[in-house]
Amino acid sequence: MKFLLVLLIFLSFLQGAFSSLELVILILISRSFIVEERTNYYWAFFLGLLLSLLLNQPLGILSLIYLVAIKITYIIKRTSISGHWLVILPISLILVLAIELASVVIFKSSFSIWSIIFQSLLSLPIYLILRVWEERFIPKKEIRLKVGK
Amino acid sequence: MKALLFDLRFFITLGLISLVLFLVDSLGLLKLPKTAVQYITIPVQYGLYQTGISFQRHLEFITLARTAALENKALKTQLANLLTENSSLRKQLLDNQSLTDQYSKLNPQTYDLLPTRIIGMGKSITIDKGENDGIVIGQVVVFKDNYFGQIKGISPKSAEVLLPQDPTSKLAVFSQGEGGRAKGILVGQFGSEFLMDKILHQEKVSVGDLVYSEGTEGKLPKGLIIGRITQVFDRQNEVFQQAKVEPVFNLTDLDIVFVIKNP
Repeated sequence: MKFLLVLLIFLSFLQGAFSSLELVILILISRSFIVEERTNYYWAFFLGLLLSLLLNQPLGILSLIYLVAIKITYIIKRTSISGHWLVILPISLILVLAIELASVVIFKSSFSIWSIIFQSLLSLPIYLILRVWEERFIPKKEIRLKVGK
Repeated sequence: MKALLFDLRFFITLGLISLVLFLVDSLGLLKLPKTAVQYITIPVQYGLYQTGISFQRHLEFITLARTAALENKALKTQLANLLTENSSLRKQLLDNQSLTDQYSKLNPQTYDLLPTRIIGMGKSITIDKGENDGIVIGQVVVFKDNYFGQIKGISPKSAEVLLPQDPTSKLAVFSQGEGGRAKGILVGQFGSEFLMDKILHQEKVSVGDLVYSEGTEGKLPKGLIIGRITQVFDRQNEVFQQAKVEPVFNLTDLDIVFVIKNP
Protein backbone atom coordinates (compact mmCIF):
# COMPACT_ATOMS: atom_id res chain seq x y z
CA MET A 1 0.00 0.00 0.00
CA LYS A 2 2.74 2.44 1.01
CA PHE A 3 4.79 1.34 -1.96
CA LEU A 4 1.87 2.03 -4.29
CA LEU A 5 1.36 5.45 -2.74
CA VAL A 6 5.05 6.32 -3.21
CA LEU A 7 4.87 5.07 -6.78
CA LEU A 8 1.78 7.18 -7.41
CA ILE A 9 3.46 10.29 -6.00
CA PHE A 10 6.51 9.58 -8.18
CA LEU A 11 4.26 9.11 -11.21
CA SER A 12 2.50 12.38 -10.36
CA PHE A 13 5.84 14.17 -10.51
CA LEU A 14 6.66 12.35 -13.73
CA GLN A 15 3.31 13.37 -15.19
CA GLY A 16 3.93 16.89 -13.94
CA ALA A 17 7.32 16.97 -15.65
CA PHE A 18 6.29 15.48 -18.97
CA SER A 19 2.46 15.51 -18.86
CA SER A 20 2.16 13.07 -21.73
CA LEU A 21 0.25 10.17 -20.18
CA GLU A 22 -2.50 10.13 -17.52
CA LEU A 23 -0.66 7.45 -15.57
CA VAL A 24 -2.05 8.39 -12.15
CA ILE A 25 -5.71 8.14 -13.10
CA LEU A 26 -5.05 4.93 -15.06
CA ILE A 27 -3.63 3.32 -11.92
CA LEU A 28 -6.44 4.70 -9.79
CA ILE A 29 -9.13 3.41 -12.17
CA SER A 30 -7.47 -0.02 -12.33
CA ARG A 31 -7.15 -0.18 -8.53
CA SER A 32 -10.75 0.91 -8.05
CA PHE A 33 -11.79 -1.86 -10.42
CA ILE A 34 -9.87 -4.40 -8.32
CA VAL A 35 -10.44 -3.15 -4.76
CA GLU A 36 -13.41 -1.08 -3.64
CA GLU A 37 -11.94 0.93 -0.79
CA ARG A 38 -12.32 4.43 0.54
CA THR A 39 -8.54 4.84 0.15
CA ASN A 40 -9.07 5.26 -3.58
CA TYR A 41 -11.10 8.42 -2.92
CA TYR A 42 -8.40 9.76 -0.65
CA TRP A 43 -5.73 9.07 -3.23
CA ALA A 44 -7.82 10.54 -6.04
CA PHE A 45 -8.37 13.67 -3.96
CA PHE A 46 -4.79 14.23 -2.79
CA LEU A 47 -3.07 13.15 -6.00
CA GLY A 48 -5.49 15.40 -7.92
CA LEU A 49 -4.40 18.29 -5.72
CA LEU A 50 -0.72 17.43 -6.17
CA LEU A 51 -1.08 17.16 -9.94
CA SER A 52 -2.97 20.46 -10.09
CA LEU A 53 -0.10 22.03 -8.25
CA LEU A 54 2.54 20.42 -10.46
CA LEU A 55 0.71 21.21 -13.67
CA ASN A 56 0.00 24.75 -12.51
CA GLN A 57 -3.73 24.29 -12.78
CA PRO A 58 -6.43 25.60 -10.41
CA LEU A 59 -6.48 23.45 -7.28
CA GLY A 60 -9.42 21.10 -6.76
CA ILE A 61 -10.53 20.65 -10.34
CA LEU A 62 -8.41 17.55 -11.02
CA SER A 63 -9.41 16.12 -7.61
CA LEU A 64 -13.04 16.52 -8.57
CA ILE A 65 -12.51 14.88 -11.98
CA TYR A 66 -10.56 11.99 -10.45
CA LEU A 67 -13.19 11.50 -7.70
CA VAL A 68 -15.94 11.31 -10.34
CA ALA A 69 -13.85 8.83 -12.35
CA ILE A 70 -13.43 6.61 -9.27
CA LYS A 71 -17.14 6.84 -8.49
CA ILE A 72 -18.07 5.85 -12.07
CA THR A 73 -15.66 2.89 -11.86
CA TYR A 74 -17.34 1.75 -8.63
CA ILE A 75 -20.77 2.04 -10.22
CA ILE A 76 -19.68 -0.03 -13.24
CA LYS A 77 -18.01 -2.55 -10.93
CA ARG A 78 -21.32 -3.17 -9.16
CA THR A 79 -23.11 -3.93 -12.44
CA SER A 80 -23.22 -7.38 -14.04
CA ILE A 81 -20.97 -6.42 -16.96
CA SER A 82 -17.90 -6.10 -14.76
CA GLY A 83 -17.46 -9.88 -14.50
CA HIS A 84 -14.81 -10.10 -17.17
CA TRP A 85 -11.45 -8.48 -16.53
CA LEU A 86 -11.25 -7.11 -20.09
CA VAL A 87 -14.02 -4.64 -19.16
CA ILE A 88 -11.17 -2.47 -17.84
CA LEU A 89 -10.40 -1.57 -21.45
CA PRO A 90 -13.71 0.15 -22.34
CA ILE A 91 -13.90 1.68 -18.84
CA SER A 92 -10.45 3.21 -19.25
CA LEU A 93 -11.23 4.34 -22.76
CA ILE A 94 -14.45 6.11 -21.71
CA LEU A 95 -12.98 7.67 -18.57
CA VAL A 96 -9.71 8.82 -20.16
CA LEU A 97 -11.68 10.22 -23.08
CA ALA A 98 -13.97 12.08 -20.66
CA ILE A 99 -10.98 13.44 -18.70
CA GLU A 100 -9.24 14.57 -21.89
CA LEU A 101 -12.41 16.24 -23.14
CA ALA A 102 -12.83 17.96 -19.79
CA SER A 103 -9.20 19.18 -20.06
CA VAL A 104 -9.90 20.48 -23.56
CA VAL A 105 -12.95 22.38 -22.31
CA ILE A 106 -11.49 23.66 -19.02
CA PHE A 107 -7.78 24.12 -19.75
CA LYS A 108 -7.96 24.48 -23.56
CA SER A 109 -5.38 21.70 -23.93
CA SER A 110 -4.74 19.71 -27.14
CA PHE A 111 -6.54 16.48 -27.90
CA SER A 112 -5.15 13.31 -29.53
CA ILE A 113 -7.30 10.26 -30.10
CA TRP A 114 -4.21 8.04 -30.57
CA SER A 115 -2.92 9.05 -27.17
CA ILE A 116 -6.27 8.09 -25.64
CA ILE A 117 -6.29 4.72 -27.41
CA PHE A 118 -2.71 4.10 -26.29
CA GLN A 119 -3.54 5.01 -22.69
CA SER A 120 -6.58 2.72 -22.75
CA LEU A 121 -4.42 -0.14 -23.98
CA LEU A 122 -1.86 0.70 -21.31
CA SER A 123 -4.53 0.22 -18.67
CA LEU A 124 -4.57 -3.51 -19.40
CA PRO A 125 -0.99 -4.29 -18.27
CA ILE A 126 -1.44 -1.82 -15.38
CA TYR A 127 -4.57 -3.65 -14.29
CA LEU A 128 -2.91 -7.08 -14.49
CA ILE A 129 0.19 -5.96 -12.56
CA LEU A 130 -1.95 -4.27 -9.91
CA ARG A 131 -4.14 -7.33 -9.61
CA VAL A 132 -1.14 -9.59 -9.03
CA TRP A 133 0.25 -7.02 -6.60
CA GLU A 134 -3.00 -6.73 -4.61
CA GLU A 135 -3.64 -10.47 -4.51
CA ARG A 136 -0.09 -11.62 -3.72
CA PHE A 137 1.63 -8.84 -1.82
CA ILE A 138 -1.07 -7.05 0.20
CA PRO A 139 -1.96 -8.81 3.42
CA LYS A 140 -5.70 -9.28 3.98
CA LYS A 141 -7.55 -9.43 7.24
CA GLU A 142 -7.85 -12.91 8.59
CA ILE A 143 -11.07 -14.69 7.72
CA ARG A 144 -12.64 -16.02 10.87
CA LEU A 145 -15.23 -18.68 10.64
CA LYS A 146 -18.09 -18.46 13.06
CA VAL A 147 -18.39 -21.76 14.84
CA GLY A 148 -21.69 -22.47 16.56
CA LYS A 149 -23.76 -19.64 17.94
CA MET B 1 -26.94 -0.12 2.24
CA LYS B 2 -25.48 1.75 5.18
CA ALA B 3 -22.00 1.29 3.78
CA LEU B 4 -23.15 2.53 0.40
CA LEU B 5 -24.67 5.63 1.89
CA PHE B 6 -21.51 6.28 3.92
CA ASP B 7 -19.43 5.83 0.78
CA LEU B 8 -21.64 8.30 -1.10
CA ARG B 9 -21.43 10.78 1.74
CA PHE B 10 -17.66 10.43 1.77
CA PHE B 11 -17.50 10.97 -1.98
CA ILE B 12 -19.77 14.03 -1.80
CA THR B 13 -17.71 15.50 1.06
CA LEU B 14 -14.44 15.16 -0.83
CA GLY B 15 -16.12 16.46 -3.98
CA LEU B 16 -17.41 19.50 -2.13
CA ILE B 17 -13.97 20.17 -0.61
CA SER B 18 -12.49 19.99 -4.11
CA LEU B 19 -15.10 22.39 -5.41
CA VAL B 20 -14.49 24.81 -2.53
CA LEU B 21 -10.74 24.60 -3.10
CA PHE B 22 -11.30 25.31 -6.78
CA LEU B 23 -13.42 28.36 -6.02
CA VAL B 24 -11.03 29.66 -3.36
CA ASP B 25 -8.05 29.13 -5.67
CA SER B 26 -9.87 30.83 -8.53
CA LEU B 27 -10.25 33.86 -6.28
CA GLY B 28 -6.48 33.79 -5.70
CA LEU B 29 -6.68 33.16 -1.97
CA LEU B 30 -4.41 30.09 -2.04
CA LYS B 31 -1.40 31.76 -3.56
CA LEU B 32 0.66 31.74 -0.39
CA PRO B 33 0.25 28.04 0.56
CA LYS B 34 0.70 27.07 -3.09
CA THR B 35 3.98 29.01 -3.27
CA ALA B 36 5.14 27.37 -0.07
CA VAL B 37 4.45 23.87 -1.37
CA GLN B 38 6.02 24.67 -4.72
CA TYR B 39 9.31 25.41 -2.93
CA ILE B 40 9.48 21.65 -2.39
CA THR B 41 7.78 20.37 -5.53
CA ILE B 42 9.52 22.49 -8.17
CA PRO B 43 13.11 21.24 -7.45
CA VAL B 44 11.87 17.65 -7.47
CA GLN B 45 9.94 18.25 -10.67
CA TYR B 46 12.95 19.98 -12.24
CA GLY B 47 15.26 17.12 -11.23
CA LEU B 48 12.90 14.60 -12.72
CA TYR B 49 12.56 16.64 -15.88
CA GLN B 50 16.34 16.90 -16.27
CA THR B 51 16.73 13.17 -15.64
CA GLY B 52 14.07 12.48 -18.24
CA ILE B 53 15.73 14.76 -20.77
CA SER B 54 19.14 13.18 -20.09
CA PHE B 55 17.66 9.71 -20.47
CA GLN B 56 15.98 10.78 -23.68
CA ARG B 57 19.32 12.10 -24.97
CA HIS B 58 20.99 8.80 -24.16
CA LEU B 59 18.30 6.93 -26.04
CA GLU B 60 18.61 9.39 -28.89
CA PHE B 61 22.37 8.80 -28.92
CA ILE B 62 21.84 5.06 -29.29
CA THR B 63 19.45 5.64 -32.18
CA LEU B 64 21.81 8.16 -33.73
CA ALA B 65 24.78 5.82 -33.33
CA ARG B 66 22.85 3.07 -35.05
CA THR B 67 21.79 5.41 -37.86
CA ALA B 68 25.35 6.68 -38.16
CA ALA B 69 26.70 3.12 -38.37
CA LEU B 70 24.22 2.31 -41.15
CA GLU B 71 25.01 5.57 -42.89
CA ASN B 72 28.74 4.87 -42.58
CA LYS B 73 28.28 1.45 -44.11
CA ALA B 74 26.25 2.89 -46.97
CA LEU B 75 28.83 5.63 -47.54
CA LYS B 76 31.66 3.10 -47.58
CA THR B 77 29.84 1.10 -50.25
CA GLN B 78 29.19 4.30 -52.17
CA LEU B 79 32.85 5.28 -51.88
CA ALA B 80 33.97 1.86 -53.11
CA ASN B 81 31.58 2.19 -56.06
CA LEU B 82 32.87 5.67 -56.82
CA LEU B 83 36.50 4.52 -56.62
CA THR B 84 35.74 1.68 -59.01
CA GLU B 85 33.95 4.08 -61.33
CA ASN B 86 36.81 6.55 -61.07
CA SER B 87 39.36 3.84 -61.85
CA SER B 88 37.29 2.72 -64.82
CA LEU B 89 37.02 6.31 -66.07
CA ARG B 90 40.76 6.84 -65.66
CA LYS B 91 41.41 3.69 -67.64
CA GLN B 92 39.04 4.86 -70.36
CA LEU B 93 40.79 8.23 -70.40
CA LEU B 94 44.18 6.55 -70.75
CA ASP B 95 42.82 4.35 -73.54
CA ASN B 96 41.50 7.40 -75.35
CA GLN B 97 44.77 9.22 -74.84
CA SER B 98 46.71 6.24 -76.21
CA LEU B 99 44.38 6.08 -79.19
CA THR B 100 44.77 9.79 -79.89
CA ASP B 101 48.56 9.55 -79.56
CA GLN B 102 48.60 6.54 -81.82
CA TYR B 103 46.50 8.18 -84.52
CA SER B 104 48.74 11.24 -84.41
CA LYS B 105 51.72 9.01 -85.30
CA LEU B 106 50.30 6.48 -87.73
CA ASN B 107 47.55 7.85 -89.92
CA PRO B 108 44.34 5.84 -89.29
CA GLN B 109 43.33 6.39 -92.90
CA THR B 110 46.47 4.53 -94.04
CA TYR B 111 46.72 1.99 -91.27
CA ASP B 112 43.75 0.12 -89.88
CA LEU B 113 44.76 0.00 -86.21
CA LEU B 114 43.14 -2.32 -83.71
CA PRO B 115 43.69 -1.37 -80.06
CA THR B 116 44.45 -4.34 -77.81
CA ARG B 117 45.41 -4.88 -74.23
CA ILE B 118 48.44 -6.78 -73.04
CA ILE B 119 47.20 -9.65 -70.91
CA GLY B 120 50.38 -11.68 -70.50
CA MET B 121 54.09 -11.27 -70.83
CA GLY B 122 56.97 -13.72 -71.00
CA LYS B 123 59.35 -14.43 -73.86
CA SER B 124 56.49 -13.23 -76.03
CA ILE B 125 53.46 -11.12 -75.11
CA THR B 126 49.80 -12.12 -75.21
CA ILE B 127 47.12 -9.66 -76.30
CA ASP B 128 43.37 -9.79 -75.70
CA LYS B 129 42.30 -9.79 -79.35
CA GLY B 130 42.40 -12.82 -81.60
CA GLU B 131 41.01 -14.51 -84.66
CA ASN B 132 37.47 -13.28 -83.90
CA ASP B 133 38.70 -9.69 -84.19
CA GLY B 134 40.33 -10.25 -87.55
CA ILE B 135 43.89 -10.80 -86.36
CA VAL B 136 46.05 -13.06 -88.55
CA ILE B 137 49.58 -14.38 -88.20
CA GLY B 138 52.28 -11.98 -89.37
CA GLN B 139 50.45 -8.75 -88.48
CA VAL B 140 52.53 -6.14 -86.75
CA VAL B 141 52.06 -4.81 -83.21
CA VAL B 142 52.98 -1.18 -82.63
CA PHE B 143 52.74 1.60 -80.09
CA LYS B 144 52.76 5.07 -81.62
CA ASP B 145 55.32 4.54 -84.39
CA ASN B 146 57.37 1.98 -82.49
CA TYR B 147 57.56 -1.61 -83.52
CA PHE B 148 56.82 -4.16 -80.81
CA GLY B 149 56.51 -7.47 -82.56
CA GLN B 150 54.66 -9.70 -84.97
CA ILE B 151 51.72 -12.01 -84.40
CA LYS B 152 53.05 -15.56 -84.31
CA GLY B 153 50.12 -17.49 -82.89
CA ILE B 154 46.39 -16.87 -82.61
CA SER B 155 43.39 -18.22 -80.82
CA PRO B 156 39.79 -16.98 -81.19
CA LYS B 157 40.10 -14.48 -78.33
CA SER B 158 43.84 -13.84 -77.94
CA ALA B 159 47.07 -13.73 -79.87
CA GLU B 160 50.74 -14.24 -79.17
CA VAL B 161 53.25 -11.66 -80.28
CA LEU B 162 56.84 -12.48 -81.20
CA LEU B 163 59.10 -9.77 -79.78
CA PRO B 164 62.28 -8.61 -81.55
CA GLN B 165 64.19 -9.66 -78.42
CA ASP B 166 63.30 -13.29 -79.17
CA PRO B 167 66.35 -15.17 -80.55
CA THR B 168 64.23 -16.55 -83.42
CA SER B 169 63.34 -13.03 -84.60
CA LYS B 170 65.24 -11.56 -87.55
CA LEU B 171 64.41 -8.23 -89.15
CA ALA B 172 65.92 -6.12 -91.90
CA VAL B 173 66.58 -2.70 -90.35
CA PHE B 174 68.46 0.49 -90.95
CA SER B 175 69.85 3.03 -88.56
CA GLN B 176 69.65 6.73 -89.15
CA GLY B 177 71.75 9.31 -87.37
CA GLU B 178 73.79 12.45 -87.89
CA GLY B 179 76.64 10.38 -89.38
CA GLY B 180 74.46 8.77 -91.99
CA ARG B 181 72.49 5.66 -92.66
CA ALA B 182 73.48 2.01 -92.09
CA LYS B 183 71.68 -1.18 -93.00
CA GLY B 184 71.72 -4.38 -91.04
CA ILE B 185 69.86 -7.35 -89.66
CA LEU B 186 68.28 -7.16 -86.21
CA VAL B 187 68.68 -10.37 -84.28
CA GLY B 188 67.06 -11.12 -80.97
CA GLN B 189 69.19 -11.78 -77.92
CA PHE B 190 68.25 -13.27 -74.63
CA GLY B 191 67.26 -10.35 -72.45
CA SER B 192 65.79 -6.96 -73.12
CA GLU B 193 68.25 -5.86 -75.81
CA PHE B 194 68.84 -6.99 -79.37
CA LEU B 195 71.74 -6.89 -81.80
CA MET B 196 72.00 -5.11 -85.12
CA ASP B 197 74.33 -7.27 -87.19
CA LYS B 198 75.77 -7.36 -90.68
CA ILE B 199 76.58 -3.63 -90.82
CA LEU B 200 79.21 -2.80 -93.40
CA HIS B 201 82.35 -1.13 -92.10
CA GLN B 202 82.00 1.80 -94.51
CA GLU B 203 78.54 2.62 -93.09
CA LYS B 204 78.40 5.05 -90.18
CA VAL B 205 76.77 3.85 -86.98
CA SER B 206 76.94 5.71 -83.70
CA VAL B 207 75.46 5.51 -80.22
CA GLY B 208 72.04 7.20 -80.00
CA ASP B 209 71.07 6.53 -83.61
CA LEU B 210 67.52 5.31 -84.02
CA VAL B 211 66.92 1.98 -85.73
CA TYR B 212 63.98 1.66 -88.15
CA SER B 213 62.32 -1.24 -89.92
CA GLU B 214 63.22 -1.79 -93.55
CA GLY B 215 59.77 -3.13 -94.41
CA THR B 216 60.91 -6.10 -96.41
CA GLU B 217 59.21 -8.73 -94.21
CA GLY B 218 55.64 -9.42 -95.26
CA LYS B 219 53.28 -7.13 -93.41
CA LEU B 220 55.88 -4.96 -91.67
CA PRO B 221 55.71 -1.33 -92.83
CA LYS B 222 58.87 0.61 -93.51
CA GLY B 223 60.08 3.25 -91.06
CA LEU B 224 58.79 1.95 -87.72
CA ILE B 225 61.12 2.74 -84.84
CA ILE B 226 62.63 -0.39 -83.39
CA GLY B 227 65.06 1.01 -80.88
CA ARG B 228 68.07 3.12 -80.13
CA ILE B 229 71.72 2.10 -80.52
CA THR B 230 73.45 1.91 -77.14
CA GLN B 231 76.81 0.39 -78.10
CA VAL B 232 78.78 -0.10 -81.34
CA PHE B 233 81.19 -3.02 -81.89
CA ASP B 234 83.54 -1.92 -84.68
CA ARG B 235 86.20 -4.63 -84.82
CA GLN B 236 88.48 -4.40 -87.89
CA ASN B 237 89.21 -8.11 -87.87
CA GLU B 238 85.46 -8.86 -88.24
CA VAL B 239 83.71 -8.77 -91.59
CA PHE B 240 80.79 -6.67 -90.30
CA GLN B 241 80.13 -4.14 -87.58
CA GLN B 242 77.62 -4.87 -84.82
CA ALA B 243 75.54 -2.60 -82.59
CA LYS B 244 73.57 -3.18 -79.44
CA VAL B 245 70.02 -1.84 -79.66
CA GLU B 246 67.53 -1.25 -76.90
CA PRO B 247 63.82 -0.49 -77.32
CA VAL B 248 62.62 3.09 -76.85
CA PHE B 249 59.56 2.03 -74.82
CA ASN B 250 59.46 -0.50 -72.06
CA LEU B 251 56.63 -2.93 -72.73
CA THR B 252 55.81 -3.27 -69.05
CA ASP B 253 54.90 0.44 -68.96
CA LEU B 254 52.22 0.03 -71.60
CA ASP B 255 48.61 -1.07 -71.25
CA ILE B 256 47.50 -0.73 -74.81
CA VAL B 257 49.26 -1.63 -78.03
CA PHE B 258 47.89 -1.59 -81.59
CA VAL B 259 47.76 -4.24 -84.26
CA ILE B 260 48.11 -2.99 -87.84
CA LYS B 261 45.47 -4.93 -89.75
CA ASN B 262 46.24 -3.64 -93.26
CA PRO B 263 49.84 -2.58 -93.73
